[in-house]
Amino acid sequence: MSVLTSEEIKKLAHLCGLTLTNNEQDVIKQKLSETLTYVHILDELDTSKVDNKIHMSFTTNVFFEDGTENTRQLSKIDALKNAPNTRFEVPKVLEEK
Amino acid sequence: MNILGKSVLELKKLIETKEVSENELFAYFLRRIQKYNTKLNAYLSIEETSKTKGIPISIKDNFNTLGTITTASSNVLKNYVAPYNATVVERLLKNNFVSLGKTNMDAWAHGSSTETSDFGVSRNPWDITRVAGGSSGGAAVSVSSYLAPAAIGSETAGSIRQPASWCGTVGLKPTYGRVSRYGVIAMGSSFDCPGPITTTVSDAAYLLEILAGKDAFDATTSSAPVENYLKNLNPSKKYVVGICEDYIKDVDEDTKKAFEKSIEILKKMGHTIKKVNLLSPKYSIAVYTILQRSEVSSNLNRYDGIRYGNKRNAFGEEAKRRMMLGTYALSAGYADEYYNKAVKVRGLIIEDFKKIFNEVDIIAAPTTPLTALPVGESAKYPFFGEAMDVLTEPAAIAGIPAINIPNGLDNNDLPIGLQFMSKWLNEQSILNLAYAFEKETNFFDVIKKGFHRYE
Repeated sequence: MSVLTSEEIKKLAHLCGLTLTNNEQDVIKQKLSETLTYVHILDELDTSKVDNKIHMSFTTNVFFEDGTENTRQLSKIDALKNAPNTRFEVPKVLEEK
Repeated sequence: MNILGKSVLELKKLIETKEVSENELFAYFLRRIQKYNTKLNAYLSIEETSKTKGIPISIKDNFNTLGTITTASSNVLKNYVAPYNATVVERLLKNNFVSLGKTNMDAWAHGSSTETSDFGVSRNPWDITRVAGGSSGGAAVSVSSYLAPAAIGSETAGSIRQPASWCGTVGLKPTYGRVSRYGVIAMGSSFDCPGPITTTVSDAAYLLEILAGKDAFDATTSSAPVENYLKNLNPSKKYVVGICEDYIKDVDEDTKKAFEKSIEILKKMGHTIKKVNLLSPKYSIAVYTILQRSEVSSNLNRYDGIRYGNKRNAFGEEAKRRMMLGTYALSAGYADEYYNKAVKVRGLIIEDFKKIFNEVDIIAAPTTPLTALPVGESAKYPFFGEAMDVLTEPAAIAGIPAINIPNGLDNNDLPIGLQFMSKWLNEQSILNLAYAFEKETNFFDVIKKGFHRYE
């Protein structure tokens, strides 16, 4: 069984920007380990001759003509409507000298 | 004027001949929703008045609908008011449809029962101790109990066909890229397909015509011309229909019996039945679990609680688990073992279907391995959603079109589903065969019995 360690779970949660309770950590650790073990069923199939550059749509190189009106652009008011206090607030990135 | 059970096309005609007014029609459905929705929990939000005029329709809550709350059934978006309409919604409005409200789903479409919804489970109209299926559970419930004459749902792998099967309605998953995903809250971007859930095949054909087509806002949409699916509905065309033992052997007794009876009917109707060997659908569970969860981990990254929505600790356990599996499968050192391997098997599945569609026109199979489960039972399965959708995943992985139609009731009086799949952009064939089956059997009166339970 592909068992994930608690360290790996913590690291994954951090990569996902998630905080887990201790209970969630245990439950998720067990369920993820089960899933990762299960998906090894794919080892039964020989994929040595398969190209992994598969894409599902029929199109290639769909371009937007430079200078064309962008009809779906939101106004500033509409774009901010759902933000807390109608502003995008983030932690300071640069320190002041 | 008895409206109960009338299809979209029938209602359209009644409006045109002025036998019923659009206002009356809207009020009719609103009354029914007010009467039954508390019990069924199909709708999360209801339009108290019709903003525009048209044929009423319900819309799954993962479609952005301008000016109304759109939640994807998650607390993260509990207060999110959509600032724009999804392309699907625009096309509905342009074609004289009006929204009755937004329907319940599994949160972020993660599931096959609506049990992961943050706003309660949707009850199966045939037995309210059971789930409706998912993730388009609310949509299927709304049609099955005639709280809407049709619904818009979406399918990543099974999310239209499975609840349609469990609730006893028609449900169509178009070819990937046939219908625009612009404005649909993304789950698996290489899988997601908006599609109709209806009471007749003609309605599904009509809605597909309205929704399908190239969209400048979704670069993955196909430029293939949109056919006259409705006008070209041909119940007399004969097909070579493939059946595969691996899709039949593990389903429950009643589902197997209903399937075998349906095949006999197709034979009697003059279609050729041919046994085919497809790659076992069991591999699809693993492929879909890895690829979908990888895409989910990326798509759900945008919910930062900074620009809109609540903070990430509002995610439910199912969403957290799926994001973490996806992140793991994509991470350095593991991407080859999991993600890339799954992509390659996806390639095998696609080639496998291409090969089989040289031998047959359509593949027929049961839609689900069993009928609607009791509420709570899904907790017994480690990856319930993916396991329930074993028979619908292959078509989703390949991106081919597929339709569910009811083909009977089991010993507990629960609907059983039959599905037809065909090759890319060949919706006309599966619509034709489904239409022919409908004319021949009337789906054994399943749909009619369904809405009569809610007089």
